[in-house]
Amino acid sequence: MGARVITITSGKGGVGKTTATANLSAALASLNQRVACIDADIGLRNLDVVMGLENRIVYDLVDVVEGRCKLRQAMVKDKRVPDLYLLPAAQTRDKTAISPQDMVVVTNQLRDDFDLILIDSPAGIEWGFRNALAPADEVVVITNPEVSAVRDADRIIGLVEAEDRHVPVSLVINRVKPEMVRRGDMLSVDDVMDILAIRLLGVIPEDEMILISSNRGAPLVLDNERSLAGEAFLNIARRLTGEKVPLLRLEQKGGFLRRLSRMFGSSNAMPGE
Amino acid sequence: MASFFDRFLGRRELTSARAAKERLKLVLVTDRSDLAPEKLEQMQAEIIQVIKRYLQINEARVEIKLEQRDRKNYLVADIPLMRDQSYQPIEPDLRGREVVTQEPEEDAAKADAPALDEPDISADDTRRRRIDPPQEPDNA
Ligand SMILES: Nc1ncnc2c1ncn2[C@@H]1O[C@H](COP(=O)(O)OP(=O)(O)O)[C@@H](O)[C@H]1O
Ligand SMILES: [Mg+2]
Repeated sequence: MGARVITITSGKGGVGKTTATANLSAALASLNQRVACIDADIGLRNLDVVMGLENRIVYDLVDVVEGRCKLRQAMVKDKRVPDLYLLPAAQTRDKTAISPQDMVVVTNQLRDDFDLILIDSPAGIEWGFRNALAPADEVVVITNPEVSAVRDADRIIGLVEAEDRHVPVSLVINRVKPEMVRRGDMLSVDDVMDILAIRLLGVIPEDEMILISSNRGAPLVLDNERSLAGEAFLNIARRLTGEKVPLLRLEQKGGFLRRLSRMFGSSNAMPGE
Repeated sequence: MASFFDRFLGRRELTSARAAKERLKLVLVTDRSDLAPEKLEQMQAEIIQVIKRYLQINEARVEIKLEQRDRKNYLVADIPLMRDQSYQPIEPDLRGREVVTQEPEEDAAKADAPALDEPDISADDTRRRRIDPPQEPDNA
């Protein structure tokens, strides 16, 4: 059987799918997993720049599917970690260049050589999403604590659960601001879980280090500087490998939140988990 | 925004997060069932008409709504019955005579058990069935 294929999706755009795919891939590779990540967002290639691998692309997913190169030739190796590869999307084609069946064939060719394959899904519920979903053994839905993002997450979860294959779905809540939650101006993790009622895989705080790291093209987890979002991604990666890492729901606990802020030596830190 | 004292005293004010949650719940009922709110109302009215053919109900307090528990959808109906209702539904037949429908024997035995839904002590005790002798059709 080989690798597990995990599709990262959301329905709504801009909630953090690409950020999560880049950081989880790097985190998993740093935990000595053999990781391949696939950018399934044909025409809006992004995973390469967030990972900082854009200058090393020769071929892409569509080249592989249309037979212009071998799969191996299109895989870009990330040299910062032992075993991390990116299969980039095509930038100048549209999503219909790939079919769900193509995605199944490509991932099956990779399964023997990797432990985990992460697929960065495009936004929406149409063709591109179907492509990303087709080979998935598991689905991770990313959402933000916000009405429209939660609504779209609900739609995606419904679509995945309607499949005959019974693919397990779990949730990552991204961009949580504990201070706003405490004031009653942001949906809490519990609120979102109440509504979506699926397994919670992790919580990522809003963290400006995310932007800084994508400016640099260096996933947070590879950074020597510790960041809360980086820790949160590492925790999620550990859970994906089966480790039991407790979920710390900090935004509900003012005292603990303040303690943690002090621990990280910052007065306005926004802890996640 | 909830003030410090509101939170301290555990007061639940309509914060923007609570507003968000309430709005989400409402919009998801429609999304998940693909049933527009006015269709749901129409269905409720029709259901009430059907039940009224068999039982006397407290129409004003009928509540029929879509709910979700553990990602499964349920149509939940709370339909209070009127006081002093015979446990044998009486329905008029097509010629206008009243007809007593036959109830199975063991039904009478457990008839004193409270109904499955939560007992409603505030209002009429209509959720228990009485063990009156069956009414004769001619004195109904
Ligand atoms: N936890 C976070 N804190 C701060 N900014 C974030 C966070 N997660 C994502 N972002 C920012 O949000 C934007 C959209 O993220 P991206 O991963 O591209 O979303 P998607 O792939 O779902 O469209 C990016 O600018 C990213 O830097
Ligand atoms: Mg993206």
